[in-house]
Amino acid sequence: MAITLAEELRNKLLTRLNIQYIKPEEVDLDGPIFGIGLGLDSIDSLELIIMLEQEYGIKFSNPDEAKEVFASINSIAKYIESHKQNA
Amino acid sequence: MSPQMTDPDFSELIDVRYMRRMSPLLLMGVYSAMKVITDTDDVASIISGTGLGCIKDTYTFLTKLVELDEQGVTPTAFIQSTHNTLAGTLGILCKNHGYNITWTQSYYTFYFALRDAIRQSKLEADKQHLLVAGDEMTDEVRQIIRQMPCGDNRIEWMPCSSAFLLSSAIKDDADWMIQDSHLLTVSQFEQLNLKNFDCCINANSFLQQLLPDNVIQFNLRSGTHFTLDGAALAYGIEVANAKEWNSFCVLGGDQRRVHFLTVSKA
Amino acid sequence: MPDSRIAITGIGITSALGMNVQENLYSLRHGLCGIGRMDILSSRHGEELPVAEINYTNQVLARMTGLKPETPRSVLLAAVSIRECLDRAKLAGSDIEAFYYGTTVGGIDQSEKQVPAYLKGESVDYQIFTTHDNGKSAEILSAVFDMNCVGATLSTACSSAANAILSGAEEIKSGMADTILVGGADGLSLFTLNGFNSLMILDRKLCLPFDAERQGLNLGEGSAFLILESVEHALGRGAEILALVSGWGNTNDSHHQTASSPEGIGAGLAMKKALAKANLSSADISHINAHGTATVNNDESELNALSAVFDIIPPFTSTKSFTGHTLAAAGGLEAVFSVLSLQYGEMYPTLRFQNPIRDNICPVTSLTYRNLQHILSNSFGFGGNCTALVFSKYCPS
Repeated sequence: MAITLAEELRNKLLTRLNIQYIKPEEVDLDGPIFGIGLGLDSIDSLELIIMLEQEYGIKFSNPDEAKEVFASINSIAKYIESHKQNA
Repeated sequence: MSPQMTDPDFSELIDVRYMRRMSPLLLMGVYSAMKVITDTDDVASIISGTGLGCIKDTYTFLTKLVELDEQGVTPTAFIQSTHNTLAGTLGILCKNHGYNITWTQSYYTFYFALRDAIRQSKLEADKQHLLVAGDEMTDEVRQIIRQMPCGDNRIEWMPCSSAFLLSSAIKDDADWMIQDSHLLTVSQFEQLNLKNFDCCINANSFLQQLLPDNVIQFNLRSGTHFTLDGAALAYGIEVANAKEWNSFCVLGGDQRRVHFLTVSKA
Repeated sequence: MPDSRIAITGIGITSALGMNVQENLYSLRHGLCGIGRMDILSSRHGEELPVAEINYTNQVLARMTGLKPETPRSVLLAAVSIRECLDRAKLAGSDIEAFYYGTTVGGIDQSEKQVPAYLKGESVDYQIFTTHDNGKSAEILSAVFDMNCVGATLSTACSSAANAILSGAEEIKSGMADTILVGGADGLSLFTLNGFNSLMILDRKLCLPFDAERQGLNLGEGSAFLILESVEHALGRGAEILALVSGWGNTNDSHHQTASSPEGIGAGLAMKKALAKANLSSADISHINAHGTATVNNDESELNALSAVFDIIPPFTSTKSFTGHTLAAAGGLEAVFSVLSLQYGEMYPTLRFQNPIRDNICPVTSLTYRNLQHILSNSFGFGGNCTALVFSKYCPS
């Protein structure tokens, strides 16, 4: 079965942020990832901003802009999809 | 062939969720600290010493900077390049708002960190003070050092870390006391009689020629690094307990100054 | 009974405002901002990032100091201001019995120049890497000035020089040394420029400390040093006492590696510690030289801390609006500015301030004359490091 964008994002995120203590399939794609859930913080947010620019061509001018988008992995995937359609 | 060192299982004492971003220095330093702290509430201050800091992250950031031509560099490696990352991390993990300082003075790093820890333990006598020292190493940085014209290439550079709880109020479970810690010139050092101690542990790779045969050449076993004298002190305490010594001394520093540290039974 | 209060008897400074105390004082008094184009450091971000750069190449600084041009820039800057500091204190380098030095950059500015050749496998000058480690800078300076001691380097990010002053003050108080040189230096480097850029906390325009519209900090470079000795010792040798270091406090915020707690817990505790050490109440503070980096996080957090410590916040300012954020050197620069404020009864403005963050809390916005008795100076660094110092006017007891 082909991997979805959300699943691809999840795998890249876990690798990028060196999260090894949880299996990819255990990550809730709809669940919160900052604060609770995966417990990501502001430094991870900056890493993800760079990852989205390098891998998907998405640019954020400041971390606050990214805050809402980073609510969950699915919300990031949706943002990438809509950005691609508008490009 | 690269020299090998076996790491302990850091997850025994460090929550795996925090480990993912930690550099080798942070893993070693936090692990060492958690081994000595029994009650985080009792720790009044945190003093750390590191000669090169998170050199792996510094190397990563510098090389990425050039490879990516200053575009798309990520912050994690930069953040851990400030030398007080270990002390800061311990402050967060121990929820400690006390005095928090990091010393970095090449081979004299542990001397200055210990000096500050002793000073803090006199200022707040009824509390315990955490002293952590350490340095990390990578194959790439080791290669660079081998080609640097700085003299200390006889022994491999290897990671090390150590942690101590100090208090100036004698605690029932304290075994050892710091008698003295000085930075001596080499000629002052040559006047000393090391036979006054049950043992002498050498962590100064510039001194080998000057030492009698019964000195433990710690750096030959552990490799060298800026804060090796801290690790030598920890090693000394372990061996002293096992062999029931009454006193021992540790030698650190370099070819210009010797860190002469004397320890006796409490 | 010997007067064991801690006197400041010498100051020296370099910054984008000038290469000595007089030039810095002139710029502060005339509202001349040091932040502008990047001319010396060569970076692809050169056009977009304003910096407070000192307008001398390493070659020129080397000629000024007699050091080699490959010497780390921080060390070159330090050598200039240590010379001034010693001259003003009428001391020789050999009079210095302890030397506490703060830096974060160390020799990275020189190391980074070797990286392109290193990565390509081309010829590298490995001698350059011998100045990389932070401790080497103090070693070079103590040798150059023939100091009677081994230098000791503190590296606590942006509070490094402030902690050097704190350590020197404790050393004088404990009677371990009579004459101590304290301070710090950081030169601009691609490492720090790109590091702070990756944290997305650099303003693309001139920074706006304590302003609701602030977007981040501007990096700067500089060096600043002070001579500390007991009042007894200073009077004994006929030294002029410029001011006193009367209080100090260092704490950890214990919140996050790079962000301050919203309430400014560590900052508040450091200020209270410094006040307690100085035997002062918050009402005794005439003026505050704030950390005031102009990041969204710091200024909000610091204001909250000030509100918690002071019933009425005294006039406060951020001189980083002039000098940019000089990282490890900041606490040293701001100590020298605090001494000048006490000496001349002046408070320097926070340039470009227009919109208060809340409750109409506004910093000093123009050069203001006032008889100042006690000044609080804040420096906060990564790793949650919070240091507050109290400088006081000297009155013979």
